[in-house]
Amino acid sequence: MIGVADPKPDRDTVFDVTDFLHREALALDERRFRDWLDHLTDDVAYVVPLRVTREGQAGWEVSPTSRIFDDDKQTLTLRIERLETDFAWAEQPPSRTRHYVTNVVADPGEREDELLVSSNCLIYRSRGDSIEPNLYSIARKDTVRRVDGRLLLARRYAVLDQSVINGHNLSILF
Amino acid sequence: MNEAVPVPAAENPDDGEVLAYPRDGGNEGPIVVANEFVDVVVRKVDTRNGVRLEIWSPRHNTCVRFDAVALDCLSYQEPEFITSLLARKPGP
Amino acid sequence: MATDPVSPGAEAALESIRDGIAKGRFPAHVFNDRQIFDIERQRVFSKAWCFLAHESEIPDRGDYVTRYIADNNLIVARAESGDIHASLNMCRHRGNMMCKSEMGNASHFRCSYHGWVYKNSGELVGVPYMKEGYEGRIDKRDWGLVKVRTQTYAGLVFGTIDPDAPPLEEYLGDFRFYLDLYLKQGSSGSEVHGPPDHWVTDTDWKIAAENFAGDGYHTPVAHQFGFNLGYFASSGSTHSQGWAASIPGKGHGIGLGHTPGFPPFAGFPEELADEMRRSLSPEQVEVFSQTRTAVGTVFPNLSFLMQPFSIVPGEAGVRFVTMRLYHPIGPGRTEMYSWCLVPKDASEQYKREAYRAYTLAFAQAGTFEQDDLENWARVTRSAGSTMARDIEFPYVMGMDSVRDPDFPGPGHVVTPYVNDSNFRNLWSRWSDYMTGQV
Repeated sequence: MIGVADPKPDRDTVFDVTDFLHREALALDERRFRDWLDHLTDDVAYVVPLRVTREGQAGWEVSPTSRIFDDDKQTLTLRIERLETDFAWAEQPPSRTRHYVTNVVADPGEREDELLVSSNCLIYRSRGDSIEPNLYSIARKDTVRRVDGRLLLARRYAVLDQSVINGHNLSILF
Repeated sequence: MNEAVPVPAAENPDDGEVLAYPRDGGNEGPIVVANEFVDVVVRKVDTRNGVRLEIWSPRHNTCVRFDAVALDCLSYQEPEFITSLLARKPGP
Repeated sequence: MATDPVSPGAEAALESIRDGIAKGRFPAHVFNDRQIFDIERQRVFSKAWCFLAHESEIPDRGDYVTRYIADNNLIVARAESGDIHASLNMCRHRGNMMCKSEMGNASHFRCSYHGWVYKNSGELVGVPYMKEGYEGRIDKRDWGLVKVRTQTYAGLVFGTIDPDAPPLEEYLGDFRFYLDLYLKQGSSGSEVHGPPDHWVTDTDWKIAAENFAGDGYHTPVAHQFGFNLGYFASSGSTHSQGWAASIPGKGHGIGLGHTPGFPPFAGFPEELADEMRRSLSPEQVEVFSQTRTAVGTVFPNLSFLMQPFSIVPGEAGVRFVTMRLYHPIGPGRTEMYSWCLVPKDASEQYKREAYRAYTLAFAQAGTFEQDDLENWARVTRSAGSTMARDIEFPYVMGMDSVRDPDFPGPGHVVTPYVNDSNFRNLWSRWSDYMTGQV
């Protein structure tokens, strides 16, 4: 809004948010999935929308309704419980992932205790003895909330840059 | 990246959806109508004594202004009529 | 279409594969083989009716999507007349791609190279410098986009590049009885929920086509986590119950899983179940009402799965339908398209819940999908190895089963659901095409 100067988050806040995203990514890369769930608010919305190749003037390139992931805490917990069984063949042996999180930009959120955080994320995924990794380049728009002095992820909206995804399945998290 | 619009206008429109007649005179605009081949900007233009609809093609930088009679006449042409215009002059 | 000659040795090998199927044997290497892939392009995908799109993807005049038959990129468009047309996505002047977007709306296509303009039904209408350049040496009627024959069934648009292919109705045959379970949920039928998931996988299309032709056998193992966490309406002990139905001589097959005590049409909204009871035939109602899971393949590469799913263990949840197309892009390599079909008449809430169940269970990040694709990628890899050249797989389950005399649906129907009979039918039809019998 012109004329209404939102206070830009201070350096400490930007540092804390960046550190939070790094630690959250570390939990995924170290396969501490229960720890990762602890980085999420109970009302978290975890969304990976579907992208379609369309002209620049099109009404949308990222589908407003179609989702690759449309998860909440309950379904994310289900995914983690699944990985904890002995029958999650997709991740057995597990993928080696590395989340490279960059270009972190934090702005005030809709609520006073929230921040809108954009970041780029490049995920390197190696499976089995294959020398050809999957690379996923992702634009993330997160809502990060301060709860009892801790930062937690309240919403993740992660858009893949590819419209045809390379990778036989998506058994990893973004 | 375009953040989600809760109810998409374009993804699954009802077949033959009839738009509500604009009671406010429909003065909002300009409207961009685009596909992967061309895009046009449409807006209402007031003349001293009346009104015309302007169609402007930014890629070709061509422009035409139609009055109500011309537009009404377009509303009952066969789709073949437009095809014949494209056959006559496929580009400016 | 011009075809490359197949060597006498390869012809003999194909004949021998054909003979093996009748004895319940099918070779491993066909699931990852360059020569087989090349022959499939010529003899299967250039002859069969191939799925292109669902009508609800192009509901309005001018709507189009781009799809493939074999390696040919096609524009599937609804013309200004309302008819559906499929044309090769290639300008007749110098071959540029006409449509580069996966979907859009246009009454006419204009080439971005020299500016030739076509109607969305494919006819050439505009040629720049027609008088000055061509001086009357070109007749526009001769230079339209190359047309592909299309026909539809209950919202499914198929195309074939074989001018002599029989009508679609005959091609699908009695499999239409079973397809209606996915396509006629309510009086207005089904529609896609948005654009398809689209990804590339190191899996041969045939592995996926076979699995979806009714592989009830893999479920308790490949998807054991579902049983383990209680997300399945069947258990290991009852899972084999149900029927395997195949249409002899057509290749199509479906597995119908049944759980004793599972309420009729469980998971469907009440109104929709009532509507299905009214609008489907009594035989269809009898079959569908006791079907828990229905997983079927239309030869060659279009599949469907319907299953109830709830994130609350033990509850019936909602029925979701996934429709998928396995587009072969190389030996052992497939472009997957996966749509969620929802009943057009259902409430928005039901559609949302069904779509959510689909994403969680069977879209590309779906918990069930993940395990299938992991297994299939490894099958594909093994099938490409040199020792696999001489290996055959057993397809002998239910070799001597007789048709279930009480089952009201058409085709060769055997029980239990865990059976190879659908797969023998599928590969026997495949080898009809591969040996040039079709």
